[in-house]
Amino acid sequence: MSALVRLFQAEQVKMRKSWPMLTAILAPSCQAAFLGVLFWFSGSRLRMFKPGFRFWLELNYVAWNLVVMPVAVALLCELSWEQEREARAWNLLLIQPQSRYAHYLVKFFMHLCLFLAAQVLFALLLAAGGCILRLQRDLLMGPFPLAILVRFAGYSALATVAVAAFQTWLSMRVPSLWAALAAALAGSWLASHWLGGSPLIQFLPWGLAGQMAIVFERWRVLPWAYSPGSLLAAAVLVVLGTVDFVRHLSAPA
Amino acid sequence: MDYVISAQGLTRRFGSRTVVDGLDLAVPAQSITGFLGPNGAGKTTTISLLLGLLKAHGGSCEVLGHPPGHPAALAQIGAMVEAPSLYDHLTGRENLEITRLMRGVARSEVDRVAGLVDLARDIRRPVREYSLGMRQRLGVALALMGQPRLLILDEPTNGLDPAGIQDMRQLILSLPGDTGATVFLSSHLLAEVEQVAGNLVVIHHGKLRYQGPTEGLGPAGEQGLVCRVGDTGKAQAAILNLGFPAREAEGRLWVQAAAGDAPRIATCLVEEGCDLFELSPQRVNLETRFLALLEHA
Repeated sequence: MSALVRLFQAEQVKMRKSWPMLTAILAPSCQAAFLGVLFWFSGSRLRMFKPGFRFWLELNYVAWNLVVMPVAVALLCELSWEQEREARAWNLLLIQPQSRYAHYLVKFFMHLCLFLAAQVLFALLLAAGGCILRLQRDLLMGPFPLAILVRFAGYSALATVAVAAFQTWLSMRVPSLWAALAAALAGSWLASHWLGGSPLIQFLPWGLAGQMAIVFERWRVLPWAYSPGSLLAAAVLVVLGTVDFVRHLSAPA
Repeated sequence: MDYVISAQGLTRRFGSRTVVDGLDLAVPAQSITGFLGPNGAGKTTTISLLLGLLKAHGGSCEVLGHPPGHPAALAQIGAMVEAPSLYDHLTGRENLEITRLMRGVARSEVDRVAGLVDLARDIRRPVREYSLGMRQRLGVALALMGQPRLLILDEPTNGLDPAGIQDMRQLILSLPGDTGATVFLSSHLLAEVEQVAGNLVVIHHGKLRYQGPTEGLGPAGEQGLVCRVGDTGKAQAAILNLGFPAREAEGRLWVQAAAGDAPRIATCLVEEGCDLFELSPQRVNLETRFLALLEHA
């Protein structure tokens, strides 16, 4: 266990001033800023929809889970592996006195932690942004719905796990930014295409995230029941990725 | 004798090509062993096999009493394979910190190894600003982290300036005495290897060509005299008449004779009316012996 902790601390050092770290900060900031500006200057046109604080959160979390989060996770994972490839770090990693699977597991947890931190930042930005938007009276923001924000943020965090598991594996195996982004967009489109369809959607890495769009239909509740299936899919992907990582690196350089 | 690396019949193929072919290795503890071979001889593949980065297709191997790649062995091995693995966006210190954390050694090791390779002053600069030589020194510092019992270095003097090469030589020479470490050193700079290595392993086309003390490589006493004269043709004929083989190369005569024969040869050349500018003993260096060995292979 202490070896895993030490590897995780080493990963933390690698992430300092890095592109993956920048991605985790910029993705939520850019989205919150972009939609904030859009809201601010569309006040009178949005009035007919009775926007309010809840609408602000719903719109942000739907855009986040359907587009921004899958793309940003893909970007983050690809940049993180690219950092290892650029440093020609395989030799350095594999001559350390740890089992090989530990390196992959720690990498996945690092990606997940970075993106969970991004989720926290996103929630804080939405809360702060919503409070600023109250100054625009046309938006009828109303009181700050803390419970809804916590619920959306929690669901969103759960939805990230399977996406991070898939993209960590894909970017380790296929070193291409375009492949990572294409997979993220295609997966997300597939998940939203099957919105409210078969429960098998929960086993698709983007399945849980894709269901976020349900929040616009306020009589329906978020499919929390799908989260164990999504986490199971994530666990399977992590195990497969770990086995593949160990096997892949035994091949000739 | 205690061996830190022992291999019997080590074999590795890539497709149909056998890169390491039945290699037997025995590297004595606390020695500096030079690992030589021309490009493509299989040196880096052999090192990768010893570290467990590649799996052998045949033979057996033990490193520090464990199979290659065993965590117990890796904990006592410091290695730099091919080029140093460095994160350019981080400082030298942060790069050292990553290895320190992964190896689980004391915090003070970072400063110790940075001092050993003379990088203490630049340790807070980003690695992307480092010269090739500084990167190489940082790579060696990473390998030295945690005072390993076995240090495997692949071309450690790449990119170093003459002063850096001298410092590296001193460092490598001091390791067996100071820390009890064994150094397994792969390099194409034969003069460098000759100055530090007490033992040599020479491979060619993946096969072992020589293994033993450095002095043992090539025929003993193969020394000669180098002679610079005005008329090399006339001088060569005179020396051949004296009974010494002589050949012309690079405007000089290379005479197969002992240093004690120099006065006789000098007298003969002067008597024959040759202008003699230089007559000095020529030591047959490692490069000559190495090339001769490969020629006979």
